[in-house]
Amino acid sequence: MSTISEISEFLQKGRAKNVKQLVTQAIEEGEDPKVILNDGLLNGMMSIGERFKKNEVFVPEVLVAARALNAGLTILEPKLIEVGNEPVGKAVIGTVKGDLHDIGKNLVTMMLKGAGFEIFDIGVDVEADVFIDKAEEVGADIICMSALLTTTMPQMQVVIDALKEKGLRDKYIVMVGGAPVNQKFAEQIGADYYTEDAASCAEAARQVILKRAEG
Amino acid sequence: MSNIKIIKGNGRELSIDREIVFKQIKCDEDNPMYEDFNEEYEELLPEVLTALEPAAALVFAPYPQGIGGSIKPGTEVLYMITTVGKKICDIVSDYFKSGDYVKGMLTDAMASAALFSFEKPVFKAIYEMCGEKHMGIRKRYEAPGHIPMEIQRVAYDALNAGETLGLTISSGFMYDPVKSSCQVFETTDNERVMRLTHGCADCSNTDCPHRMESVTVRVSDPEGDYEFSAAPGTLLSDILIDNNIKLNLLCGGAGRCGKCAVKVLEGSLPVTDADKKFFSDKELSDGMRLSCRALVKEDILIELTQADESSMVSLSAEVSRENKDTNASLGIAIDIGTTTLAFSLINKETGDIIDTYTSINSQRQYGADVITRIEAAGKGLDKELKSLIEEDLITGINTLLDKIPDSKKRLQMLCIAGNTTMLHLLMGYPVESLGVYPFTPHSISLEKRKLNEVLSNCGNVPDDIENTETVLIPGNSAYVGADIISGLYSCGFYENDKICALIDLGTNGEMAVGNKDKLYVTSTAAGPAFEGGNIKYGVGGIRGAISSVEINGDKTTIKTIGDSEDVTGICGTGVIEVTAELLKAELLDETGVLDDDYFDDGFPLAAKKDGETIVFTEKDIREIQLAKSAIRAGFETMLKRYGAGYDDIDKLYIAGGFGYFLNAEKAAAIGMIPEELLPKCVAAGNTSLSGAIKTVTEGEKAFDALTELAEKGEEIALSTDKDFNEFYMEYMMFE
Ligand code: B12
Ligand code: SF4
Repeated sequence: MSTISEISEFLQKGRAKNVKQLVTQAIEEGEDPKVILNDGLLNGMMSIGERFKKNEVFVPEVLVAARALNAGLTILEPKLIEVGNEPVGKAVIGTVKGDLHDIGKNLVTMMLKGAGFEIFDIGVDVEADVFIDKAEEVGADIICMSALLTTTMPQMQVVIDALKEKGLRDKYIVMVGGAPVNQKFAEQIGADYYTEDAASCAEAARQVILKRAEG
Repeated sequence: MSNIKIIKGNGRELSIDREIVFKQIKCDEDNPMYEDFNEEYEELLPEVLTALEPAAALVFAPYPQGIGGSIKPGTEVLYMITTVGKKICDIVSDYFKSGDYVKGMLTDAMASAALFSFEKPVFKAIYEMCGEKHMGIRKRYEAPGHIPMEIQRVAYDALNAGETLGLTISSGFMYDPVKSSCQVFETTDNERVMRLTHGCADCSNTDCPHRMESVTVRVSDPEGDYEFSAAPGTLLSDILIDNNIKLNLLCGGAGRCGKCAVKVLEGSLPVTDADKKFFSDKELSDGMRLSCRALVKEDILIELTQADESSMVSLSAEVSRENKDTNASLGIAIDIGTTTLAFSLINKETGDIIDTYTSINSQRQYGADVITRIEAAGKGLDKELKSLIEEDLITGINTLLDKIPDSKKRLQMLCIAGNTTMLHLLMGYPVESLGVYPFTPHSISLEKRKLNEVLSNCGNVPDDIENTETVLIPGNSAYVGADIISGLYSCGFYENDKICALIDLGTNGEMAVGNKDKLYVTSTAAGPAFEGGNIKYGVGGIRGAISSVEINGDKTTIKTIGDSEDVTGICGTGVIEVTAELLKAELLDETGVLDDDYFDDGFPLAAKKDGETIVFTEKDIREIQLAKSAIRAGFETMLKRYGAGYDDIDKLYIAGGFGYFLNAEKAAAIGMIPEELLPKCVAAGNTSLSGAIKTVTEGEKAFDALTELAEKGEEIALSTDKDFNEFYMEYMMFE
C-alpha cells in the first residue's frame, strides 16, 4: 500500500499518531503536498463522511477521524503554503443572532475542513452585519448559518435580506441548517442550500464549488 | 428581591452520568471507538469537574399577563435558572478550535449532563421553599415546548440573573454561558404533589437523544395520596428519598434488611432476586417488594408498609416538674444517637428539666449504623449528612424554645453529646479514617463554639441564639465517643472510689470499667439486632412494638409499647425477652436450636392488623446469639484486662435508649450480662443525655472532669484480642 492510501486508511480509523507520522514520511519521500492532502487526508475524511451517511459508522468514528485529519493538517499546512495550494473554497460560519447553540455549527466546521475548505468560524449570537463583513473581508465563497431555535430561525432571513440590500446576494452561496430548519424553510427565505447533517453539508458545499468552477 | 434563593454548588459534588454522555455523542458499547472514548472520558473528568461552577436561583412570582402559554396569568409560579458557568463553556470551545473534536464533544456532553444533575440539589431547596409556603408543584414547563421563549426573559428579570448568576441574555432569549437552563414550575395548593422532574413525555422532539420518558410514583396515604415523577429505571428507594420520604434503610440499601418494603397496589414492579429471598410467594403476589432493589419502569401506586418511625418512643430524661419561672437562664442538652436524637430544655440554675423532645436522626435514610454513614460520606454525601443533622437539631431546638416566652434570649448554653462519627458528621470533619484501621478521629477534644459555627450550613439559626455557647463533649477514640464519656460523667466515674461498670447497648456496645484512678473502655460490634435490625419482624421502639413476652405452657402473652392493639413488630427488648422465655420453656436448646415444631416457620407471637403472623425465627435467634456474645465477650475481656472480678464491681449501669426498658433478669437469662451482677444492675437510661444535662447545669466545672475522663480512658482493642475471641465462642451458647 502506498503511503498516501495508508494515510487515508489510518485517518478513517482515527489514528492521529500514525497519520502524523505518515504525513511526515510522505513529505520526506517527496510527495506533492497537494496529493498528500487530496488523495490522503481529504480522501479519508470524505470516505468517512460517505460511510456516515450510509449509517456504516457513527458520530464517534467521524470525530476521531476529524481529529486525525487535524493532526495531519498541522504538519502539512506549512508545505501547502510553500507550494501555494489554494483551498477548495472559503466559508464563513456562525450561529445566528440570539442563538447560542454551537455544537451543530462546530461539527459543520469540522466536516467542511475535511472537505478542503478554509473556514472562518465567527462564533455564536452573530449579527447579520458581522456575517457579511467577515465574508467580504476574507473573500468567502459560502456563508453558513446555523440556528437551533424556532425563535432565531428568522435571523437567517435577516442576513439574506441584508445581503440583498447591499447588492451582494449573488456573490455568496448561502447554506442554512440546524435541527428546526428544513428544505421548505430554506426555500422560503431564499437560501441556496439546506442539508440535514454536517457530512452532507460538506459534500454539497464541495460540489457547488466544483460546479461553479466548471461553469 | 430578597426572596430570591441562590444555591452555589461545587463541581466535585455533581455526578456526571456517563451513560447520558455516551448516549448524547451516540457512542454505544458496541461502537469500535467505545474504549477510546471511555479513556478520554476518564482523563477529562477531573478537568471538567473542577471547571464546573454550578449555581442556581429560585423565586416565587405570579405568572405575568401577556406571555401566553397554558399557565393562567396571576398563578403563583416558581422560576428556576441553573447554570454550570462560563469556564466549562470556554474549555469546550477551545477543544473545538484546536481541532480536538473528540474532547470537544465529550466535554460538551459532560457539561450538559452536569447541568442536568445539578437539578437534584436544587430540588432540595425547592422542597424547602414549597414546604414553607405549603405548596406543591403541579407541573414543570420549559420553553419553547410548553411555554413561549419570552419566559426566559421574565425569569431572568425575576431572578435578577445578571447579578445573581452572572448571566447575559441574547435577543433570542438565550442565556450566555450556554450551559444554562430555565424552568418554570406551576404551583398547587396540594403540597403533596411534587412533579419536579423533566417532562419529556409531552415534548414533540421525538428523536432527541436526551429523551426520557417519565414515570409517576403515587403513594397511597389515608391523609391524601402524594406523587412524584422520575426517569424510568430509577430505583424506587432513590425516588422516595429524593422526595423526602424518610426510609429506614438499615442495611444502606443492600437488599438485606427489608426495612424499605413497599406494597404495589397498581402497576407492576418486577420481582427481583432479593425480593424472592425476602418475601413468601403470598407476599410477592400481594405486591410486596424491596424498594431498594426495584427499578421503576412504569407508573405505579404503592403503599409504604414500613412502620412510621416518627412515633418512635425514645428515651429522654423525665420532665421533673412544671417550670413557670420566666426569668431563669436556660440550657439545652442534646444527645445525637445514630438512630434517635434526644433534647432536654433545662433551667440552668436549678437543673430542672423544663421540657424534652425526641426525633429520628434523618441521616438514617443513608444507613442504620456508623459504618454505612461513613461509607455514604465517602461517596460524597458528607455535606448532605451534615445538612440533615443540622436540620434535625435546629428543628428540635426551635420546638423546645418556641413554646416558652422570651426563651431565645435566655438560652445560655447548649451541650451536645454523641458518638464520634455523629459528632464528626455534625462538625463536617473528615470521617474516612474513622472507618479504617487504625481508626483515627480527626478531633475529639472538648469544643466551645458559637451555635452558628456548629450549624454552619443550615442558614436558619434564629438571630437571638446564633452566638450562644455550644459545647461538644470530648470523646476517647473513634469508637468510644463523647456519648460514653458523657455517660461516665453522669454516673460519677470521675469521683468514684469504688469500681463501677457501664454498658451502653446500641448498635455498638460500648462499655467501661473503673473508678477515679483507673479507667478502661472498649466497644464491640453487636450489630443492629437489639434495635430490631436483621430480625425478621424487628422494629425500633415504636408504638405497637412487642416489648415484653411471657410464655406459660401453651399460652403466650405479649405487651406492646403504648399498649397498642395494632402490633407492629418486635423491638429490641422484646427480642431479648422472647429468647429468654423460649429458653425457660425449653423450646430453645442451649446451642440455639428451636423446637422442631417451630424450626421451619418460627415461633408465633401475635397477629398484625392485616392478619399476618409475627413470628420469631431460627435465623433471628442466630442474630441474637451473635449480638449477645459480642457484648458479653467484650465485657469479660475488659474485666480481665482490668484485673477485676464480679465481686469488685460496685454497680453495673446499663445505659442506652432501650436499656431503660430492659429487663435485666432476662438479659442475664440469655447470658448477655453475668447473673452474678444482677443485684448490682442499675437501669440508667440515656446516660449520654444525662451527662449533657449535667454539663449544662455544672457549666465550667464540668469541662475539666469531662476532659479528664476522656483522656484517662484506656482503650482495649478487641478485634485482635485472643481472650475476646475465646469468650466470643464461649458465650455464643445459652450456657
Ligand atoms: C444540546 C442542547 C442544548 C445544550 C446546548 C449545548 C450547546 N453548546 O450548544 C443546552 C443544554 C445548554 C441547551 C439549552 C437550551 N436549549 Co437546547 N437543545 C440541545 C439539543 C438537545 C441538542 C442540540 C445539539 O447540539 N445537537 C447535536 C448537533 C450535532 O446537532 P444540530 O445542532 O442539530 O446540528 C446538526 C444539523 O442540524 C446540521 N446543522 C447544524 N447547523 C448547520 C448549519 C448549516 C449551514 C447546515 C447546512 C447544517 C447544519 O448539522 C449538524 C451536525 O449533523 C436540542 C434538541 C435536538 N435534538 O436538537 C435542544 C434544543 C435545540 N434546545 C432548545 C431550547 C429551547 C433550549 C433552551 C433555550 C431552553 C430549554 N428549554 O432548554 C435552553 C437555553 C439555555 C440558555 N442558555 O438559555 C430547543 C429548541 C426548540 C425550538 N423549536 O426552538 C431544542 C430543540 C429542544 C426542545 N425541544 O426544547 N440546549
Ligand atoms: S425529548 Fe429532548 S428536547 Fe424534548 S424535553 Fe426531552 S430532552 Fe428536552
